[in-house]
Amino acid sequence: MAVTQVPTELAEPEPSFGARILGWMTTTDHKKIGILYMVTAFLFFLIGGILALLIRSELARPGLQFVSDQTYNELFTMHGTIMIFLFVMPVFSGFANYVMPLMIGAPDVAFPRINALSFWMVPAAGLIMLSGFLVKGGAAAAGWTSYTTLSEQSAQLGEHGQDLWIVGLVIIAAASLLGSINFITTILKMRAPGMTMFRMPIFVWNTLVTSLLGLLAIPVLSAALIMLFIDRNLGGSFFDPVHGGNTILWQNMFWFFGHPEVYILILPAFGIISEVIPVFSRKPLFGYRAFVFATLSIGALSFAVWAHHMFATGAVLLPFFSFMTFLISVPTGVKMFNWIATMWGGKIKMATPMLFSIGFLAMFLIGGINGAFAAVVPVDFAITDTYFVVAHLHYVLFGGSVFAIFAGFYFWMPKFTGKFLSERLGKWHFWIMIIGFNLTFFPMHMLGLMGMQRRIADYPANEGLTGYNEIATVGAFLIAVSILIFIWNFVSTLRKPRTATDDPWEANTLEWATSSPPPPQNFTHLIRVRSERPVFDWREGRKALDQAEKEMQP
Amino acid sequence: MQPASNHASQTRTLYDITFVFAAVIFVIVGGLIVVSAIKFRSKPGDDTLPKQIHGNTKLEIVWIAVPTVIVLVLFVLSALTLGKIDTAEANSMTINVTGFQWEWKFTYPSYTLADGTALAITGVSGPLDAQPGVPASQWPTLGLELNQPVHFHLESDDVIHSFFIPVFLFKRDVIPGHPNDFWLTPDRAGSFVGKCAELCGLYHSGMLFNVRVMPKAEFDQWIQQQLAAFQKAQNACKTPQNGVIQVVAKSIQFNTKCMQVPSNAVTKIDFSNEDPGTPHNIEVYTNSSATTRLTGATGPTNTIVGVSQTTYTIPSGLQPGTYYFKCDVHPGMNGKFVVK
Amino acid sequence: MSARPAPPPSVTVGHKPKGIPSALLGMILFVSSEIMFFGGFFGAYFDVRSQHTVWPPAVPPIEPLEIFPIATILTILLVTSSFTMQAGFFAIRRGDRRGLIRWIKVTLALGAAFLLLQLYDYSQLGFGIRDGIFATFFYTMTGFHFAHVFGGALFLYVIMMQAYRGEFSADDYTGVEAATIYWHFVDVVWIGLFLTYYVLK
Ligand code: HEA
Ligand code: HEA
Ligand code: CUA
Ligand SMILES: [Cu+2]
Repeated sequence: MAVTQVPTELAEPEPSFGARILGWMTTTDHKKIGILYMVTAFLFFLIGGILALLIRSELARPGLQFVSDQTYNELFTMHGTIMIFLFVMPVFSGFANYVMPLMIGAPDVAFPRINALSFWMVPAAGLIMLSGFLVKGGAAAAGWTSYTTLSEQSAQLGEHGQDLWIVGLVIIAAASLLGSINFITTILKMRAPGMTMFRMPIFVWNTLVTSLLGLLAIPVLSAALIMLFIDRNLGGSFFDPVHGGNTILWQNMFWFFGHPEVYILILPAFGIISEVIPVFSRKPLFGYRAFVFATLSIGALSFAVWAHHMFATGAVLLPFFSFMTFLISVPTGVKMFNWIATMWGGKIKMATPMLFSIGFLAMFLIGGINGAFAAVVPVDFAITDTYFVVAHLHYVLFGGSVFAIFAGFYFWMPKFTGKFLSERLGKWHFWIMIIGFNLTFFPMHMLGLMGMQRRIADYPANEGLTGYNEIATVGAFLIAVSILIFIWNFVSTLRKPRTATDDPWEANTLEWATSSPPPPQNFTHLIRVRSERPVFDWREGRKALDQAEKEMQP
Repeated sequence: MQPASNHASQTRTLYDITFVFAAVIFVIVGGLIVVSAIKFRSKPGDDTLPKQIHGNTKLEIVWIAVPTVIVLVLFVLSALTLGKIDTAEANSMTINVTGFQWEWKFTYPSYTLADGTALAITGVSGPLDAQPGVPASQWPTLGLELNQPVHFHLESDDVIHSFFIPVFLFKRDVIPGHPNDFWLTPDRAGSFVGKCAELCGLYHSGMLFNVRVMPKAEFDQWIQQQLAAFQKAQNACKTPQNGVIQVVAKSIQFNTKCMQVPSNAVTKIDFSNEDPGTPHNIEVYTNSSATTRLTGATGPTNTIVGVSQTTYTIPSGLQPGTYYFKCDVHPGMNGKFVVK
Repeated sequence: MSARPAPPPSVTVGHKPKGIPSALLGMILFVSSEIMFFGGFFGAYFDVRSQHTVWPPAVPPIEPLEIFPIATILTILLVTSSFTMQAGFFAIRRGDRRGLIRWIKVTLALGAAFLLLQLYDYSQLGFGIRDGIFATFFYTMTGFHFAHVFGGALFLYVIMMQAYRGEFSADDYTGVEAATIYWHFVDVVWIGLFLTYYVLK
C-alpha cells in the first residue's frame, strides 16, 4: 500500500489515502475501532432501512404491487436481522469501545487485537448474510426468529439463503462473545485509581451488565444455530418431530437467548440516556445506586421471562412467565422515574442530545407499557403475532435504542471529531423523525387490534386496514427524510474546522478530561476521581479557585 | 373489535382494564416528562448550578412499591381471566383443525357419512393475489353453532401455523408434533374471517378461512348441505380417458379427490404441478395411514417442483379395492384411489 | 482466544494491576460462556428426552451404547490427564519449567490417546448422525466435545512451545493457568457426557 505514495506526499505530515485506509484496517486503537463499528453499523442501518421502505411500500395498499410473496418474506427477515444484529448491537459495541475505556480512565481495552478481530467479523458476517439475496431461492425468509420447521424446509429444495443466515449469525455470535469478554475484563481490571465500581459512570455499568448478558445468552443461540445447521445439512433431526425431535425446542432456545438479547439492545441505550440527562439538566443522576441495582435486576430477570414470546404455543408455564415479565417492569420503572427526577428541579439546556433523550423517555414509555399489555396472557392471545407486537418492538427498539443512539451521537460527536453537529439541522432531524416515527408505528397498534397479522405480504381489502397502513407508509418516508437530514448534517460537519474544547458540554465523566479528539494513549494526565462525577468536581473546584483568586486580588 | 365468544368478552374486559391502567400510567409519567422538560428549562444567561440532589430514598421506595402493586394487581386479574378462558368446557362439540401450507381443513367427528367418514371441510386458499386470486367464496368455511361450546383440536403436518379468529380475540399455534386444544362458545351470530397468524412460508398471508356462526336451525341445515356436498365429492371419481388420467396440482390442492382405475389395464397418470417452486407428487398407499406404498411415485423424495409435469404408470393387476393417494409433501392433498 | 496475554498497553496511567491477571479473567469468562454453550446442548437433550417414553426411540433401532470398555477407558484417560495437567501447573508455580514441560507432554499424550480412541469408537458404532434424534444428539455433543479437546490440546502445545522458549516462571504462569482451567473444563464436559450417555442412559 505504501508504494502508492508519491514522493511529494511523503514530505507532508498527512499520510496518503492508501496508508490511511491501511491504518484503519490494521488499527487496534479502541477509539478507531469504535468509529469503525459505528460507521459500519450505520451503513447496515441504511440497508435495513431501505428494506423497511420496501416493506412499507408494499403494504401501503392491498394487493401485491412491488414484490412477490417470497421476496416480501426475505425483506422482513433481513430487515429484522440486520437492524438487530448488524445495526443496534454493533453500534453499541462502537459506543462502548470508544467511550467506555475513556470513562474509566483506561488507555485501551484489555485485549486490543481481539477487539480488532471481533470488529472485522461483523462486516464479514453481514456480507455473508446479505449474499443470500444472490443465491438460488433467495435470502433467508423465515423471519428473524427463524422458527423451525419452516426454517428447515428450504434445505430440501436445495436453497441455501437460510444457511448463509446461520453462518453469518454464528460469526456475529462469536464476535460479540469476544467483545463481551473484552469489555468485562477492561471494566474489572483497567479502571483508573480512584475509579471504584460505585463511581463508574452508569454507561459503564450498563456495558458491564450487557456484556454479562451477552456472555451467558449468546452461546445458547450459537448452540441452537448449529443444531439448525445440522438438521438442514447433515441429516440431523433436532427440531423435526417426524424423526423424534421437538419443534418447540428451537423456540425455547431462541428465546432463552432472545429475551436477554432485547436487553442487550436496550441497556446501553439506558446507559447513554443516563449520561446525557444529568449533563444537560446540570444535576447529578438521581438515585445512582438504585440505578445500578435496577440494571442488575433487569439483567437477572431477563433470563426468566423468555417464554412470554411463546404464550400461544400452549407449551409453556403461563403464570410463571407472565409474573416474571410483569416484575421486569418494576426496575425499568425505577429508571424511568430516576431520569425524570434528574430533570426535575434542574436547569435544562435543550440541546439536540437532550431533545433525543426526552424523545427516548416518551417513546420508550409507550413501548414499555404496550409490552406490559403483552404480558397479560389472555390479551397476548389476542395480540400476539399481530401488528401490535410490531408496534411494541419498534417503540422499544426504534423509540428506545435508536433515539438513544442519536442522543449519544450528537453528544459525543465533539469528542469523536472535535466538531459539533449543527444544532439547527439536529432539531429538524429530531422533530421530523419523532413525527414520522409516531405516524409509522402508532397506527400499528390499531392494525394489530383489528386483527392484522404480522409478516404478511398482503391483506384483504375489505377489513378496513388500508387507511392505517397508508399513514404508516407516509410516516416511514418521513423517517427517511429525517435520516437524510442527519446524513447531510454529519457530512457537512466533517468539513467544518475543529471548534470543540475538551469539555464543551460541561459534562461529568472522564472522557471529557482529555482533548477532543483524545490522543492515541487517551490521557496525558489523569484528574483525580473522588465521585461518580470527576470532571464536575474538577471543574467546580477550578471555578471555586478562580473565584477565590479573584477575591484575593483587590 | 367486538368480541364474539364467551371468552372473547372476558378478554375484552381484561383488555379494557389493562388499557385504563396503561392510560393512567402513560398520562402521569408522560405528563411528568413533559412538565419537567418545559418547566425546568434553563433561563438564558442563567449560569448558576441548580440544587445538586443525589437522590431520595423515600421517593425511591414509592416508585418501587407503586408499580409493584400495579403489576401484582394486573397479574392477579390476568391469571383469573386466564383460568376462565383456558379450560375445557362441558358438552362441547369437537372440531379437528388441520393446518397445512397454506390451507385449513376442518373435520367434524360428530357428523359422519354413511360409511363412517367424518365430515371434512376443505377449500382453496393460498396466494391472496395470484391471478385471478382466490376469492373468499372458495376459502374453507368453519361453521359453528351459536351458543354451543366447541372444542378445537389443532394439528399440523408441515410447519407451525396459528389458528386465529380475530373476533374471538384468540389464537393458538398449530404445531407439528404437538397437538393443541382449546375451548370456547361463540355467542354472536355472523360471518367472520379466520387467519393464520404464524409465518408459515410463501402464502402465509393468504391462509384464510371463513367463519360462520349460526343459530341451531341454520347450523343444522348448513351441516346437511356440507354432508351432501362432501358425499358428492367423495363419490366423484376421475376415470381414465384412453388410458390416461389427468391430474393437476394447483394452490396446494389436487383437482380431484378420487381416482378410479381398472384392475385389468395399465393406466397412466398425467400429472402437472402448477405451483411455482413447490414440490408435489402423487403417491398411492394402501390406506390413509399412508405407511405402505402401493404405486405412484417411488417415495417421498420423488417429487417434482412446479411448474412441471410428469407421468406415473399404474400397473395392471392391482387387487380391486379402495386405497388412498396423497402428495408426500402436503398430507392435506389426498383422496381416494379406487381399483375396479 | 489467544493464549498470550495482550501486552499491557498502560503507559500514562501508572497503576499496577492487582488481583487476577486480565488474561486469566478473560479465560474464566470464556469458559463460562462455553459452559452455557454446552449447557444449551444438555438442556436440549433432556428436553427432547423427556418427551419420549422409550429412549433411545425405538425407530430407527439403534444398538445401545456400551459403557465397557471404550467409554470407561476414555473417561479414565481424560480424568487422568486433568491431574497430570494440574501437576504441570503446580510444577511451574514452584518454578520448575522442565517439570511443566514433562507434565504437558504426558497430558498431551493422554489427550491424543483420547482423541484417537474416540475416533475408533465412532468407527465402531453401528449408527451415523442421520439415524434419528438420539444419534443426532450423540454425535453433535460428543463431536463438539471432541473439537474442544482438540482445541485444548493445541492450546497446550502452544504453551509447551512457549515453555521451551523459556517463558513462564514461578511468578509468571498466567498462560499455564489459563490452559489448565480450559483443560479441566473440557474434562468436566466429558464427565457430563459420560454420565448422560453411558450411566443415566
Ligand atoms: C429493546 C428491546 C425490547 C425491550 C426493552 C422490551 C421490553 C419489554 N417487552 Fe418486548 N419485545 C421486543 C423487544 C423489547 N421488549 C421485541 C423485538 C419483541 C418481538 C420479537 C418478535 O417476535 O419478533 C418483543 C416482544 C414482546 C412480547 C411478546 C409478544 C408476542 O409476540 O406475543 C412480550 C410479552 O410479554 C414483551 C414484553 C415486554 C415487556 C413487559 C418489556 C418491559 O421490559 C418493559 C418495561 C418498561 C415499562 C413498563 C415502562 C416504564 C415503566 C414504568 C413507567 C413503571 C410503571 C409501569 C407499570 C406498572 C406497567 N415483548
Ligand atoms: C432496531 C431495530 C429496527 C428498526 C430501527 C426498524 C426500523 C423500521 N422498521 Fe422494522 N422491524 C424490526 C426492527 C427494526 N425496525 C424487527 C426486529 C422486525 C421483525 C422482523 C420479523 O418479523 O422477523 C421488524 C419488522 C418490521 C415490519 C413488519 C413486517 C412484517 O411483519 O410483515 C415493518 C412494517 O412496516 C417494519 C417497518 C420499519 C420501518 C418503516 C422502519 C424505519 O424506521 C426505518 C427507517 C430507516 C430508513 C428509512 C433508512 C433511511 C435510508 C435512506 C434515507 C436511504 C438513503 C441512503 C442512501 C441512498 C445511501 N419493520
Ligand atoms: Cu399458516 Cu401462516
Ligand atoms: Cu421478550
